[in-house]
Amino acid sequence: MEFTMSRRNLLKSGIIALGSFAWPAWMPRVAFAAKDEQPKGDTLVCIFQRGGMDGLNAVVPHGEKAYYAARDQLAIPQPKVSDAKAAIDLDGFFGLHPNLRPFKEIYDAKQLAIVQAAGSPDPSHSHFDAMDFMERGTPGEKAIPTGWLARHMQTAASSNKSPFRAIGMGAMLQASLRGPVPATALASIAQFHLNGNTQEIAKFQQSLAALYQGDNFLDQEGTQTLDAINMLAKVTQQKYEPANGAKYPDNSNFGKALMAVAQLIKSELGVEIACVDIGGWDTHAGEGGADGGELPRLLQEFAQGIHAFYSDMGDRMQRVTLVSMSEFGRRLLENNSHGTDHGHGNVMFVMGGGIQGGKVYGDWPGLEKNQLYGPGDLNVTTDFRDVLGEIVKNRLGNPNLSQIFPGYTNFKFRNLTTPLVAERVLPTLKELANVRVPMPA
Amino acid sequence: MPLTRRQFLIGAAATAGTGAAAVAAAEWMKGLDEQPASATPMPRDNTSYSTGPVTWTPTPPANIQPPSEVAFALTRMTFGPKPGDVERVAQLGLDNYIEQQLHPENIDDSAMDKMLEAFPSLKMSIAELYENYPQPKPQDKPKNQPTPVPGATPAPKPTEVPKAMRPKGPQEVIYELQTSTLLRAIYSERQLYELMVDFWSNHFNIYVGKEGDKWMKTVDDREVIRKHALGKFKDLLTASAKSPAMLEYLDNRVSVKGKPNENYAREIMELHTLSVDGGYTYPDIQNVARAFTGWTIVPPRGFAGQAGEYVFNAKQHDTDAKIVLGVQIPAGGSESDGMKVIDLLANHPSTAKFIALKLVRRFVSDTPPQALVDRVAQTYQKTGGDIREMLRTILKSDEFKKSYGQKVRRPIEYFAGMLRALDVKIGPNDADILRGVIAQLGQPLFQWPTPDGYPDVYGAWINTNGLLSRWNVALNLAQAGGKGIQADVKTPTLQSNAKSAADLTDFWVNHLLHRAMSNENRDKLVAYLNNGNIPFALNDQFLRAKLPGLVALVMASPDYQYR
Repeated sequence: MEFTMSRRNLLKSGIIALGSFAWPAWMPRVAFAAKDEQPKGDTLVCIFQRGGMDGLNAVVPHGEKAYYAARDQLAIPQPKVSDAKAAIDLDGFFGLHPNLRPFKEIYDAKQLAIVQAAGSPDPSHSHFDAMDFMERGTPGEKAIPTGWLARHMQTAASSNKSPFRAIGMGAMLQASLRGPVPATALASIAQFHLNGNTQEIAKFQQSLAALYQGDNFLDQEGTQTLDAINMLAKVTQQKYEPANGAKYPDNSNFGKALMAVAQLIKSELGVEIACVDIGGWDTHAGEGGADGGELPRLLQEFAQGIHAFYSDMGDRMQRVTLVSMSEFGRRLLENNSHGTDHGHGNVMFVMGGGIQGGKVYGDWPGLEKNQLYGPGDLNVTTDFRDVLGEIVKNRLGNPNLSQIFPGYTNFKFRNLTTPLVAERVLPTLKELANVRVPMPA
Repeated sequence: MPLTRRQFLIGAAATAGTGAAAVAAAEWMKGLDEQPASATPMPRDNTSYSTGPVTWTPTPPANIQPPSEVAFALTRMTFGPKPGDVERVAQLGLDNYIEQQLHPENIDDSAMDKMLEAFPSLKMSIAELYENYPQPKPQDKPKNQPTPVPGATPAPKPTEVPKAMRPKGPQEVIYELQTSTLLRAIYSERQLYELMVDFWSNHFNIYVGKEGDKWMKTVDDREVIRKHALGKFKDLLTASAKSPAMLEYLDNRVSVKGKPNENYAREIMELHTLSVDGGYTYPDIQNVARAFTGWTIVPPRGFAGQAGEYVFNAKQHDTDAKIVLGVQIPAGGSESDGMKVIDLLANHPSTAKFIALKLVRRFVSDTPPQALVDRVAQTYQKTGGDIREMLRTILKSDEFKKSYGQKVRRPIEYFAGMLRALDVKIGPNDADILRGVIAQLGQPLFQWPTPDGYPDVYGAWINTNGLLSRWNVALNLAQAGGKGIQADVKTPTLQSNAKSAADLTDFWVNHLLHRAMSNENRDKLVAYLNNGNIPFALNDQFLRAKLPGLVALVMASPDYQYR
């Protein structure tokens, strides 16, 4: 075939040279890792705040005059001990939004790190493009078909074949998980079952298992689905009670999804990756300042959910890393509708036992006019891949960053993690098989 | 055909890019106020999304049994046979049936038209749609709703709020379009036409979540897609280029002299005509963008009558000379510049090849046989892009006849196919539920966000959540359907005169699949009927306990996923 080397082709050939993740999807079960190798690292929980969180009101630069000058209506007041609506001071310059108060405890316990002015170098202000670039892990480049987490799974030393190795909470799979290693989309634990006459459904399921026995892709996906149903049937036999008094936020899909992740992790189903989404951050209007708006409500849900997960996990948090991201931040200058428009740099939260928390990381670019990016946005001084790459390498034990974040070579780790010390032991395949139980009659 | 490295990579894009995730985005992006991209748009490359020639090599499992020629043709050129269709078409003659279906204008579809009267928005102009379905004011929005989460939100449950009680906003326009499209797939006599409407709706994909497309897509569906679905490709392309919904979706609406927006220029070549390897360059994109400057729409509000219609704004048109695909477009042009581009693209051999490839992929195989693609491309060139003639070439080909098992049912074919096979009756006022089910299955209509349209290949559709949803939808249907959908599985069973579990199995396999299962799989279904303490008999106890499971198993089986 003709192969003229346009810019696009160069990119593509570069991708091909990287090799392994370009495996065709009809070879979905290619094992890249040595046999029976257990995953080395933490369970990673990835949270995506869809819509573009206003990071400047979440982690407030209360030491910046320009912040208060630009946000007449929306600014969070400077920290003041007696004022519950003021920012909660972190380091004399940054402070948490008052509704992120649950984070303070985790921050003080040095298990929560904050990265300010983080984000994607791509200038897009389109939700779709910006999310897409972030989930693929390839800003500005759409020629790479798979998600960064999918490429991590392809290149990680792991022979974990559990259907719960990677889960995306929701009816459909997050783009970061797209790729040839099967991941399970899970709308809810309780609803991942066959519906019908309970007398007959077990027999129906037995017949399905008999029908989906081939080694072709369809039959294998069918088997994976049935395995997941069976394993979850056992998990859901008892009502789940969060540990340590953890209280997930009421009426919150985000809280429910995090609770489901906690339940799955504690059930030892081999979870390595879990993706959870929280939407609604596109606060063009009615954003609100310290209270009485969309953002305060969302931040409360966000912080309560994560705090509950943290409490619920207890000691297991030593082998869990949680990271949050959002496609872009919001403009410094508030608009005329008590809101903010699409911006650039943002905040990432990183939590876990292996995180050197209690610190706001990143180089602060400033908010003066000449320091802003594009149409008046916080600049990005930490590429989101620096944060994710460090986690992948140090906490997931996967050094193959050039394949996970192709084309990115200039990693600047912020050193917010401690490298892995001990290897976690996941259930073996045989043990996983034993989790299978017949459906209740 | 060995894959080149390039195809290999592109192929992986469409396969691995399970539409699913993007759909998840679509669901919750409905609430987002999408802004135009940054002031200086970066040239962007979103080509690899879909246009790869080969994405999946479907070796149908050895145990897929050959259907009859008629049954096979009906499975591919309709949304699935209804009871009696195979016999009827066999009597009529398959060639005669194909000719009928190629001329939908001669097929009486009055029952369908009657049903569609329940959806008044389908007939409105853009101005009328804006007027009758106004944007709800912010204060009308419900307060303190839980945050919608992508995907985690269960499929929409429109039945919870009856249509009469819902606010008459743009959401209702989308609902009517989605529901009526599904009803047409199920009930229209013009089945091939409806399949082609679906095909072009994806080829010229428009995401209804984008700003004015909530209102305008309905008009695009009627005046662009439906008007030209079996006509000449150039007419379709021209109508699409002037479609307000497309001008909005791909930003040509805001493309002006000095600041051309390249979005539409790129996609018209990459996705609508030439395809990514079709021989254009980045300067071509820039020049095509300039040629289309000034192609815009009348603002939707405040211009009674003409609101939202296509208009050529000469003041915003770049009149300097352009070179497109090596052809000079002289200075001083007007709307004619864009028309010239359309002419160049529609008559380009790459377009003939690309449209042929996509049609063969849709009707024959995920791995389109090259010889057939070439013949269809020749038909395109000989007939000036006559879509009807290209279809005739495909449907009469040996490659078509031999391709059973090489396609997997996409959700819309799975769902509509089951409803047709079960001869389900749905009143237009009960049809809300259809929309939710198709979303649950992963293909909410007109909600694919990117311009490439829903994927048409196997690998994009088969995943755990998708299979579980298929199985559950099959179970729900076999258990009499639930709200609004009544499936009667008992009557045909009683009429079958089955004397044994094996008889009954064979009856339902043939009734739904129209081909045999392997003995091995058929025996597994018989074993299901014999599993338990209820002996075979066409009595109430047996029918209640075992029949729904059998019917659902046929539709949930691997065999049924292939068509």
